[in-house]
Amino acid sequence: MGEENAAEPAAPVTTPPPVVDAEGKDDSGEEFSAIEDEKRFDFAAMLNWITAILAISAAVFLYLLSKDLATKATTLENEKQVVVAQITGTTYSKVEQQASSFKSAVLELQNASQSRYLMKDFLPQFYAHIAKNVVLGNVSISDNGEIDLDGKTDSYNSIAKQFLALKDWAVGGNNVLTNVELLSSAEVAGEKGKLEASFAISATIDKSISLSTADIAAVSPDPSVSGTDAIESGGTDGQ
Amino acid sequence: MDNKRNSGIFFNIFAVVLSLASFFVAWKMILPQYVINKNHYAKVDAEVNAAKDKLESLKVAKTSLDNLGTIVDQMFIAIPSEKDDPNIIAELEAIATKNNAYIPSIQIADSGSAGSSAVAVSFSVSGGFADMQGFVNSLENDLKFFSVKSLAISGNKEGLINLSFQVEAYQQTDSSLTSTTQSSTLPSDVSGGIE
Repeated sequence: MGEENAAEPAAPVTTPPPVVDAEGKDDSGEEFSAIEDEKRFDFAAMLNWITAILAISAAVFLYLLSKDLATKATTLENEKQVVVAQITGTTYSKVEQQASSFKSAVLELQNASQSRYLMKDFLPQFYAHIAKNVVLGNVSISDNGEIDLDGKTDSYNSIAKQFLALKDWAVGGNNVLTNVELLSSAEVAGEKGKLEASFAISATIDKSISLSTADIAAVSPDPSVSGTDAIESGGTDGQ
Repeated sequence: MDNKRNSGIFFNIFAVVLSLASFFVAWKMILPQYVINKNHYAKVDAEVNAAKDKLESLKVAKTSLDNLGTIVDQMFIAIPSEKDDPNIIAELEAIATKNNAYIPSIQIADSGSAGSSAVAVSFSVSGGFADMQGFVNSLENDLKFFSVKSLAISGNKEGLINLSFQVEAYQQTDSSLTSTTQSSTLPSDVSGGIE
């Protein structure tokens, strides 16, 4: 038996696997997966802490940003107070009121000027178109440009000439008076038994035609048309 | 070993709780405040810019008004800020005196039309022919703006000429009606002003 045992090659010695009980402990009582668990724990913790740090950083960043905006807003509020104080101060509030009034006045003047028809330009030219032998009694000019005139002269012929003088009154090829109508004409006996021809004419002034006193020189009416003392003589006539 | 493992789990949970708490605080508390501050800042910024613009325009206006000098005063005589019947009467009397004319009576009334700034003035004046021509010239050249609306001319027995006028004088319209939309962007404490 002993020889048989000596002849047999020595069987390889293998370490039997450790006996693991139900709790994962070997027979020595230590955890067999401690190293792996530790590695897993480190990775998860790191991830959690990175997330936590990021979240806290983001919150702090947002908080600081918000605080910064609040500070800037306060600075701007102060700046606004300074500017508003300047604006509402005596100097600039007076300037503002004055500028506002000035603007309003300019606009008003602009509108009023556009609709104004200058009698100082019309009347001298009108007189220039009244014949010397015509005595005007009444002349009325209304807001819408209607002009009515009546007067006396020596004959129907003079009335006709006067009518044509007014009808043909033109500036730059445009008639100053439109719708010229002879409303009435009659011959009556005057104070000394001399015949007088009375008349009434109506017309409409074309206010779009610009007249100026300089145009008087250019007026070339009938030689008998004299002008400026027409009304004056009308006055002396006692109409 | 158990202690080490337990403390590891504890720190793990603590980190998660910290993350969640930070997220919650940022989302529910800091972010709304940030939005409020941001909007407030934008509003104040716009107001400051509008106020600065207005101040700048006032500076320009002041310079312009200073440069215009007496024209501004003349403009306010031509078109006063409010109805000024006494000045109208005084001005007409001055024109009449200058032209040797006489004004028996003057009537002043509002033009009546809504939104109009015109003041209707009726009066008659009498004098010599040349003086009446001078009166019309003076009236329409006067610093105070008059617009002749209607005119009746007649002679009288004394050899004088009677002129019956219907004229309009003007006053400034309410400046709030003429101001433009720019003032609406200004802060409430500086709005309602110049363009």
